[in-house]
Amino acid sequence: MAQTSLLQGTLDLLILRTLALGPQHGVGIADRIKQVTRGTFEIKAGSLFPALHRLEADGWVSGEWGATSAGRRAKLYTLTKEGRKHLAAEQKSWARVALAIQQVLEMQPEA
Amino acid sequence: MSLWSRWRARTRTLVDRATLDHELDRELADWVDELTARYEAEGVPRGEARRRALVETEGVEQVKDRVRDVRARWFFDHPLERLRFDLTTALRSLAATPVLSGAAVVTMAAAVGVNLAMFGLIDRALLSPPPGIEAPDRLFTVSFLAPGNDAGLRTSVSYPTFRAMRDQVQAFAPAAFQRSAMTVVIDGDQRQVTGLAVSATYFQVLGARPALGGGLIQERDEVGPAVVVLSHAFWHAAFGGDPAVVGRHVSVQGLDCTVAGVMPEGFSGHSPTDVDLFTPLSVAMHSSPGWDRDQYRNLLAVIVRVPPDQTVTGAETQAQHALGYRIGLSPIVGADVGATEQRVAWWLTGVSLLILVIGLANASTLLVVRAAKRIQDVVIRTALGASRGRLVAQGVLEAVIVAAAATALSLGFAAWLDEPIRRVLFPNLIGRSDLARSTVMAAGIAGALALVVATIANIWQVRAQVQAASVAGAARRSGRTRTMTGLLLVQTALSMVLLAGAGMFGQSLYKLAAQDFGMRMAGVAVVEFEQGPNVENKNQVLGGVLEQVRALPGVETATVIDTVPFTGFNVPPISVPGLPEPPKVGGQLPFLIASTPELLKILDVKIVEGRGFTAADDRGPLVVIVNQTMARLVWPGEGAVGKCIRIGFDPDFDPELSVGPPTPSAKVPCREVIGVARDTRQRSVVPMDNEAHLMQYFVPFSQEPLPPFLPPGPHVRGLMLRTTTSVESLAQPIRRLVVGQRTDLPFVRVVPYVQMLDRQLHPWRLGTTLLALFSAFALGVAAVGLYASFAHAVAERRREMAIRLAIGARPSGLVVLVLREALTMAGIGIVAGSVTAIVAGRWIQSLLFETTPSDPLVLASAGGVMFIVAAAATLLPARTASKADPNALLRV
Repeated sequence: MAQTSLLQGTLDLLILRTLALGPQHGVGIADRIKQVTRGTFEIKAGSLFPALHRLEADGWVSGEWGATSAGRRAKLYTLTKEGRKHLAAEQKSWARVALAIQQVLEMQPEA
Repeated sequence: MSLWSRWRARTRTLVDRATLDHELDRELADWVDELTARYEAEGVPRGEARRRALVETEGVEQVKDRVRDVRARWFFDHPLERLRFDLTTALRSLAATPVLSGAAVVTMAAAVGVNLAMFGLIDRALLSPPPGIEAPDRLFTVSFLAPGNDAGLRTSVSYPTFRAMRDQVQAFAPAAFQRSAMTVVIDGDQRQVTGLAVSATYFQVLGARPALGGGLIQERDEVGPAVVVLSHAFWHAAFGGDPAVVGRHVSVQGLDCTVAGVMPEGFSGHSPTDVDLFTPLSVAMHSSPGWDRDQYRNLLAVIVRVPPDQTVTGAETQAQHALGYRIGLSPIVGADVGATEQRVAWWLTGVSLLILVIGLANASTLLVVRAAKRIQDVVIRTALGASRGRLVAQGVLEAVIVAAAATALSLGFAAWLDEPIRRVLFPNLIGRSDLARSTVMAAGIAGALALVVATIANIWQVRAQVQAASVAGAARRSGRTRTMTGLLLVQTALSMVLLAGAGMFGQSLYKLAAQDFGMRMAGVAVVEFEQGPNVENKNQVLGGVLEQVRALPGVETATVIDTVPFTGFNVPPISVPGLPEPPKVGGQLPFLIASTPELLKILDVKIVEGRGFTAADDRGPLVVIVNQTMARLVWPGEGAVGKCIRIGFDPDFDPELSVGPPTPSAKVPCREVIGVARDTRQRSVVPMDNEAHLMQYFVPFSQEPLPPFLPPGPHVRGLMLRTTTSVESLAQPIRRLVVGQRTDLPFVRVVPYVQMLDRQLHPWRLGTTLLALFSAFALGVAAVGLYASFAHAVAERRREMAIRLAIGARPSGLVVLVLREALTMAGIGIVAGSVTAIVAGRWIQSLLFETTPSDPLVLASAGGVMFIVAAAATLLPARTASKADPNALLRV
């Protein structure tokens, strides 16, 4: 499937949603997004890490050193309480935006 | 994860650039490793797998750059976060030098606290209206200007004059009052209180109502029910706040009165001076018949309320028309505070500003020393890329934190100092300073301080930064810097000014008290009480117990007295045969002192010519002893002994017909001068004008001439004793003897004779006490500053010290080296301070007695104290220098 360029701000939403399922490290997050979107979004390190660090600075995720499920050493990111709240709010607003865009796209010429 | 630890983790990762970069390196390495492993698992050879992983990452360094970019932008977008970060850094930096930071906070707080307390007191006493009165801005005190003489201000008038103001001037509503010590007997307990006798209009003019009871409700001032209203504080002190106090009976000035109410808490009448009770004029004056008719008894002070529809000048003009002479209205604030006290208070407030400057200089010194200790930090942060602006911002923030802490602490200091300073400065002022006002002021002062201190510290720090950058790693150690030296000089010089000021006042006070008054006042006590209504004859009361008082252990001699110097004046008519006019010095007639033989002995008044009195004089011919000034002026060039003077009133003297003071005619018998006594001081401790040499004469006690309207016989006003023990221990037994079984006597005072000078010495005592306190503070602060900067300098120069020791310097030599530097600086400070003191001393010259600002003794002692403090403060650093270990320090 052809890859789609990501809407500004959407990456944050995807990362937060991914982390809502449990702590993950960088590779894990990228894998999960790729898998869930069936390859529509392939996140590159150049986008992922800046986004992760910005989210960490905002206090929505927190990073701590740990081990992946495969036993590799990695920095694991966890969704914080505020991050969870933020995600809920963002999801709602995303739903509104998506609906609005859909309505615009499905517009029919007036008879 | 708690909020705090999360926040800390966040700031740490944001802040700590080195840690952050390191972690990012690891994180990306892990990323690449994992991708590599994934390719390897697909069978790609290791080298190729790694290459592919890197390609997929699209450049590790680029990723790092983007992350850093995001971080920087995030910081820029979140000023609050940045402030929080700066705050943490500043706090951490301050905590790294806890002693210096703490000392800076404490000195700044103390300096601000002293000023807050001073301004709080000045505000309460001189600038704010007293509490509990309505629309105080429409209330005025009245001064009366003598006709044709604007300088001749009077503050009191007779009752008829007040009545005229009340009845004839429509432009204001006046109230009259008299403040005096009153004797109150509550349940048989005699005590002396401060009473305010007030006109019927008083409470209405102030707009005050009692909190309990009906208060003073009178129709007229001249007669009325015997009632009294208590102040809230006295109600608590004397009646334990008993709510059933209204209706109880107390004896006031010997008159049985009913308690008619209690005023609200904090209310003290028209001025913030403490008062125990309020009585109608008729109660307070019941023992002075004629008070309400006599035009010449100026016993009342007056305040007026000017209604909003009238102007002050309008009211003044109208009053002038009604009264026939001018009056002046001044705002009610500062009423009842003496002019000298006001002057000294304002002046001391100026002095307390010096404290502020010293505290400021000291806090700056400490912060600069601190900055010097933290220079490595600055260097590291610069190396890590902190901009100059950020460093300056952090310096400012550190100063602001110090100032904020100091502000909070200064409020505590001010509250603590309020009471002791009040006791010295305004002993009768009531209430506490307004905390809200103090807070605003503290914030203002501390804010300004923070700004100055921050500026100084920053100039220093930025300079240090430049130095550090240019010398790469700050290997060069400079020891004490010019900034520090300058600040230390300010402190030593100003401390010196304060010390010199304290010395000037102290010396004035000492010289005033140590003057030769021509008599011996130490060890002498006076027993007296006011003439009360039920005490027709003090002679019986006091004269009757004289023998018993003499027999008390600790009493050497005792005598009856009428007026003696500093307790009152007796100036009867006098004439000298052969002289056309009564003798006068500077317009003042001679003072008469009725004297027993014992009195001359007790006061140790020396007879320089002729003889003193003996017991036989009581029944012998009329005799008199004159003082040297009188002998010299009345009989110049001749001996006074054997001459004659006439004293007292003609037998047919009629006060109704008399115009001006009478002169005794030949009908008054002649009194022979039998001796000449040394001059004794009569009324003023300051020997200005002719005060040191006024004319006085002594007559035997039984021969005292009395005006015809007084009952004949000796007039006992009190007792005087020479004691061998403390007056305090004698007071109670004497009071018991005098009062006996009676409950109607006024309060019996037993006081040391020298206490009669207290009122006059008060301004000097005030100046000495407060300046001594201030100088002690200044010295302490200067000592801290000296210690801190020398300790720092010695630490910086320990290699130099070690080298000196290694090449043969003796440890004691190093002590001398450091001390010499400290004392040189102290010396410069002392010289600068002395010059300032001499120049500034001109402003207080008029307050000094036999002391000039350039008094060598004062300046030398002040300088000596400053030297000792400087030496003591730097001795420890000097000893540290002498203990520098060449082995440990030079091996590196």
